[in-house]
Amino acid sequence: MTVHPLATRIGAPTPVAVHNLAKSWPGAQRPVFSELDIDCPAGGITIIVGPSGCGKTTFLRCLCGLDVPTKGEIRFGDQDVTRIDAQHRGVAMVFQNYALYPTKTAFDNIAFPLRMARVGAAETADRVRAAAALTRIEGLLERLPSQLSGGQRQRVGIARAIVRGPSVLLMDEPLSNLDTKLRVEMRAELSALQRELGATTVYVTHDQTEALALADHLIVMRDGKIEQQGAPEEIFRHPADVFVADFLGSMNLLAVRREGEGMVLADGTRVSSLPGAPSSGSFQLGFRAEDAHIGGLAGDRATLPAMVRRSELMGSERLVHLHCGGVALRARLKQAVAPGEHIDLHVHASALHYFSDDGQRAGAVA
Amino acid sequence: MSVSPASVLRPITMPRVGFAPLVAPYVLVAPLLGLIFIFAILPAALALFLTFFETDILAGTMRFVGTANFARAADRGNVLNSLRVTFLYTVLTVPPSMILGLSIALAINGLRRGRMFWQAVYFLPVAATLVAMSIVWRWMFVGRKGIIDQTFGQAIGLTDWLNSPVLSLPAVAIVGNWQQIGFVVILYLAALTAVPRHLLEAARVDGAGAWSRFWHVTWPSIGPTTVFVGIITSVDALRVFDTISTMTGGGPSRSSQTLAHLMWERGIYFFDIGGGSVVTLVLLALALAATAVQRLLTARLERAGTR
Repeated sequence: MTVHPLATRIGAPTPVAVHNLAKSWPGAQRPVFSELDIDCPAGGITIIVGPSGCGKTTFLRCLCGLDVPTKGEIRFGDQDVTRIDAQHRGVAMVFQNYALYPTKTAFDNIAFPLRMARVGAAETADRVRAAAALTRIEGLLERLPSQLSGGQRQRVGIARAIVRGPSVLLMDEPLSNLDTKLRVEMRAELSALQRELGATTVYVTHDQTEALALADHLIVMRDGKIEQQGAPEEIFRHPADVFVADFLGSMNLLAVRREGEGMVLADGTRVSSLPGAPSSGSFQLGFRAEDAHIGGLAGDRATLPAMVRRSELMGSERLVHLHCGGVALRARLKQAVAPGEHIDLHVHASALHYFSDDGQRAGAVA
Repeated sequence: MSVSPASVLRPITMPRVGFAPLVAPYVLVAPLLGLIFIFAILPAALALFLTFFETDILAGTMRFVGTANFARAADRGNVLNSLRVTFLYTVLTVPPSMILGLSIALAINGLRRGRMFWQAVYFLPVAATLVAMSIVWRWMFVGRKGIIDQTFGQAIGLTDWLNSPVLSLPAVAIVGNWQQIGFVVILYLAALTAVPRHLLEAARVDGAGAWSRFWHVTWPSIGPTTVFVGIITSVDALRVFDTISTMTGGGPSRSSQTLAHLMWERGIYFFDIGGGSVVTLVLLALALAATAVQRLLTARLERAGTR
């Protein structure tokens, strides 16, 4: 792919930093978010993931300048931009619902930020063509938004965002309105495009797959607080609490208590004990569906007696729903199992996670 | 043994489709069709019919005169004068009330509080009885002693509006604007709440200032309303009668005699049914033309994807 000098003309990438940021609406009981401290790596993708209503979109709107935070500061590089309105902040944003101007053609939509910046006609044409080439919509520039498909509209939306060569690019669930197949395609393209542009990108989503796939820096939010932030791989391997464990990759969680040498589930089912487990009291045991096996596992392992409730074929493997000690579990298994069958699930000690009763991580994975 | 909730949801039999659904549409539409026929189509046809006759209401006689009524109307030049006055009145009321109405709607729309109050204030003249209000305005416009002449009439050197051939029509147009703006405001306020918020925000992020946001987002979005308001106010301007009749009586020397007033003068005051019907036809043609323009413009806006 050729590099288009105009659309990719970005100086040194700008780091985006947020310090002690809080936002509350007048009259609201509790803040939308508070005490946010985030450092977005320059030139990388920072993904903020969380369930609906966790404050992630409001945070993005504050970064963008559409909302003003109640407290704290936002810095782009050396510049404090907290009080600068969106109109003058110079960030670009991709919206979930595309937000294209319905009466303007794709070309005029993409050219709009340039027109507002009083860029000359020749340069505008060059830039629009470059942005359109990067988003692969060269042939669609004369069409109105109503004549474009969802995926094409979002490409126009992305082209409009990158046409100014913004140093900070914000994306608010840009792929949520697309169907699954298109979403996976666009995800890969978006990632490649971002690498090529090198703009510091902050990306909000509620889709954990998207978060893990795209993030350089991952932030998990809940109820206006950061639950955990760091490298996505690290967060996935060592979730800080049960919420993160459940939200990213929906981990199986079982309440267990220590009894002598062994561990006992809530209904009295015994589980073999392991070296890494807390030595006393009650705690929660977690493992991922893909880490469960039937037999053939060497070394330290936990064994859980379970009953098969349902089996869903996923292609090369099956997602098996099980019952173990009164708790529903999921396992990804190669073998076919029949509903009602009793099986022994094995999980390697290195794949077990332990959380204290209040949900915090207890003891590291071996 | 407990019964599964699913067993409660056994298939129900759908009621048979009877005769009623086939007839219902016609039955429901019939009353309105009847009313439209009696009160719109029939009178229009009658007006057309009457233009070819000389009707004497007192004697109860009708005489076919062919196109004599049309020729008479053209000869006398009153129709032409009234066409000119009506056109002038339209120019004096439609653009100002639309521009002012939109400006006021934008201002009210930008308010954080007190929206209901200002809406009510501007809507009051719409709800008021026009003839009564015209009498008040006539009193304000009275030469020398009137409030208008006492205050800014002196300041700008224009006095005795209602007795001036130049100023009588503008005076009536001022009342027309005053009365109409509230209606325009309400229509525009409704349209403004439907302007997509996310588009205004997208434009803000794209670096657009207040004027650019209005011009590139708000204005296209309220396009259909603008067409609608334009037509409604134009048709109202074509029909203007109450204020003219109360304030100037069409004078001085027909300088403010609109088509509707001429129609009344011919048909009711002079008992010249045929001559009045000719004016009615002219009015009808203008109203139809205005409606046709609206339909064309709206269709074009819809094709452009404004909605």
